[in-house]
Amino acid sequence: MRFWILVLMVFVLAPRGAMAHPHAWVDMREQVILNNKNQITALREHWVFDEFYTEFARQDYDLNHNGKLEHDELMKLGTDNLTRLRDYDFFTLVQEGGKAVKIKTFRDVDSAQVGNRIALDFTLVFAAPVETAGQGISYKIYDPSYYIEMKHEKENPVSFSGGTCHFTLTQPKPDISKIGLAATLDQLKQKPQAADNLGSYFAEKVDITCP
Amino acid sequence: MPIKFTRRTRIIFFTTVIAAAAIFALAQLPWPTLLGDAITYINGQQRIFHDQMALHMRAIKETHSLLATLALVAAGFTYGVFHALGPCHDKMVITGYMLANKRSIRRGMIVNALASLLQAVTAMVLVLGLFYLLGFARAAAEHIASLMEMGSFVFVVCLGIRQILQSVRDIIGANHVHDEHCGHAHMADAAQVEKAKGFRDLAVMTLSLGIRPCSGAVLLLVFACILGTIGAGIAATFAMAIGSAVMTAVLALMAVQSKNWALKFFKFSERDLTLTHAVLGIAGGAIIAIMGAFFAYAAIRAEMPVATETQPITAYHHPLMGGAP
Repeated sequence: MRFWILVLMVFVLAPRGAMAHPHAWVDMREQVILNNKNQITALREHWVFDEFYTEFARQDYDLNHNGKLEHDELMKLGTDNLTRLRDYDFFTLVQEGGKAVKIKTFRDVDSAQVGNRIALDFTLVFAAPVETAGQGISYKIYDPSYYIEMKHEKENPVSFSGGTCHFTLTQPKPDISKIGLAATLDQLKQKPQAADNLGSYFAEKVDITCP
Repeated sequence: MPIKFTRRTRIIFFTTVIAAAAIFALAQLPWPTLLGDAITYINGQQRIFHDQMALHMRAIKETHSLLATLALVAAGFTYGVFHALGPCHDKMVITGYMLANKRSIRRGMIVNALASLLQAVTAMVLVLGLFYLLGFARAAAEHIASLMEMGSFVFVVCLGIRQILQSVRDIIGANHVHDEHCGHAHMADAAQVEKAKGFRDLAVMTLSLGIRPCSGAVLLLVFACILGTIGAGIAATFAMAIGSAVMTAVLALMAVQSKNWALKFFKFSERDLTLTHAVLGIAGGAIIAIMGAFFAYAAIRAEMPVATETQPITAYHHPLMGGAP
């Protein structure tokens, strides 16, 4: 009987390798920025990369080869990353009533090494302020290719610069086919494509309500 | 040959029916939910292991303490055990082989141990070689690894086909023994052939499973190279191999034991067992071959991608993996 359980598992699970997607992790804290008219104008993001990512980045960005990432090197890495992320809307999808909110630019970049991990801070400014009276304001932050898994910190994941808003964070419930796809990407040697939007199925959703 | 409803035919028939019924029964379970949860859990654990290994490795670099090295080796061992718990094709092949061949438990164990160690050696040669010879090209490492993987899958296909042929021969052979009452004179020859075949099988299996480096080990060694803690990295890689070999052995033995109980339950005689083995062997061989072919095909497709109208080939550069400025 065990044999046939194994047989079944072969078909369903065998492609799983030692290293399924994701390959890197980012822990996030987000601050929702409101203006004095109680409109949301920006999102202040705080990303902390995992240790392996940090080590690989140090390989590439330790420009003076002293084995450490100084502030200027970290800033260069952060700015380079954000510049490249522009084509991917900074992995940030803000929605208002089902429609994507346009992001104008990033600013106030800061980066530091926290312990053995790189932290990157930046503010995404919206093209137009979002009315909090509007229905269905939410955001998801994810890597579309799911190369990196991005999750909120357990403690204080979301805060607000003012106002009376609050949030609900919903964990993703990905379909088995998506989980299987993520697990098999490597073994099948498919190059992950951002267009597949696989990461969206594993993204936490944050709903914002301002009574 | 006209179909006769001999005891032999009935056994083949019933084994097939029971197997089909088992598959049907298992198919009724809520697998998607169960498996989805399991994979999500394993993924979560994987991250914890990565963090742990990075932590220990850094501690080794900073303190050079034996304790930190031992902690890394322990983490490597746990990772190995855990990795073997998650289904992977190595385990399927070894279990399939042990189930399909009656007297091959010891052989399966040896192959399992050797293949695990060979995997560690392959990973070491690959990573350290690239690191020292080519100054560490990440892309090259990936390319070579994928080629080796493809070779491994082709080996697995051969193994599966071999198993099918052998089982078919067993069925015919059982008939032969039954009808002609072969004398003992043939026995020595048969044993010799069996031994030679066994050794070849052993070598092919060990190679096919072992030339594919474990990507967990590759990552560990790459990290060790960067940090300059290569000794500890190698130790942890071998601990990982031993951990996964032990767990695979336990799972495979459990499978064989379950099968023996099942056969005892149906009160099969020695010759019936040979037949049942043969039927299971054909099924197992087919599964191994199909699996290998599937992965080989996918690997070849990925190495030589074909553009379709809807999906042109474009190299995807991850925005956060930009490389050197």
